[in-house]
Amino acid sequence: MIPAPRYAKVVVDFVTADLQYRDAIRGDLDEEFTRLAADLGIERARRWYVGETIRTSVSLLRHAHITPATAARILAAVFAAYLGVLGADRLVTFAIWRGGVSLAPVAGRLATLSCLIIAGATAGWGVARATRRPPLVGTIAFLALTLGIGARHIFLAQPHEIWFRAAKVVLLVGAAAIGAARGEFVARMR
Amino acid sequence: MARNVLGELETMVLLSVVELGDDAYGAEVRRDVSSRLGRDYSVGAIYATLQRLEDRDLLRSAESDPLPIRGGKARRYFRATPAGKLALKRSVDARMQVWRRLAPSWRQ
Repeated sequence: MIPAPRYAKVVVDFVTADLQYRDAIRGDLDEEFTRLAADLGIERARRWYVGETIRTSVSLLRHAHITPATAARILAAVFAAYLGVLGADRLVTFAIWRGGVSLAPVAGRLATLSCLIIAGATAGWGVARATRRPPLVGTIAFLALTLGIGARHIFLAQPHEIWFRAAKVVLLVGAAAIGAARGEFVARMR
Repeated sequence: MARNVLGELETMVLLSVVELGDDAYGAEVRRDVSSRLGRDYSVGAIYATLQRLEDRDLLRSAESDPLPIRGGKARRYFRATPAGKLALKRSVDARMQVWRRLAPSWRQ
């Protein structure tokens, strides 16, 4: 059997983890992928699988049942994580300034990026743990967190160049994803 | 009252499940509904609809044995309940009533 794109499968597994129809959804995607690979070729089948993963995730998120209590928990977790990341970023900047340390531009940027990675991973982990289940809810919280902070860094963080701001966002999202996966994993083991 | 009303996609999914009979599983229903309505529905949209219909006791489902073509995963086959068939009939009747009320000349 030809394997479907692994990263797309990880997304499908995560989004459908607690659904009653998870095996049926995953199986349907695999079955259609195998059929398309035989009919149209593996490259088109892979493109279909990735696109279908996005469309299916959006559909499932749109139809997720979220109670007011869960929504409040998501908002609180995202807000706390947002403040945490922002605070950590500012703290490092202040510590460098207050300590009178004269860092070379590269070292200063590395310090900022390191801080962002740690803060992002912690925030992702915190959001995953605070929102707990279902993973769909965690996904919404995670997206709100990373997109919110990402937008702030891209549009508001001055005076860095756009590539540096973009690098910060990519690192933050990556770190938050790893943190969230870790938090989700720990929650599942209990 | 609103709970008894079927939406367009719900009606088409239910219709497809009834028509496909023993072959009514997600991928087949998706293909059937997409070709009928001329729109490519996502797997997620079809399963969200199937879930809603099952939650309302209009459908019942059961898993098959695992299949190699699906990476060892089972198919979930759906079957309309008597309440589902009744809801489908009412939904089609309601649409037909509206259709009949239109002027015959418009219909042609």
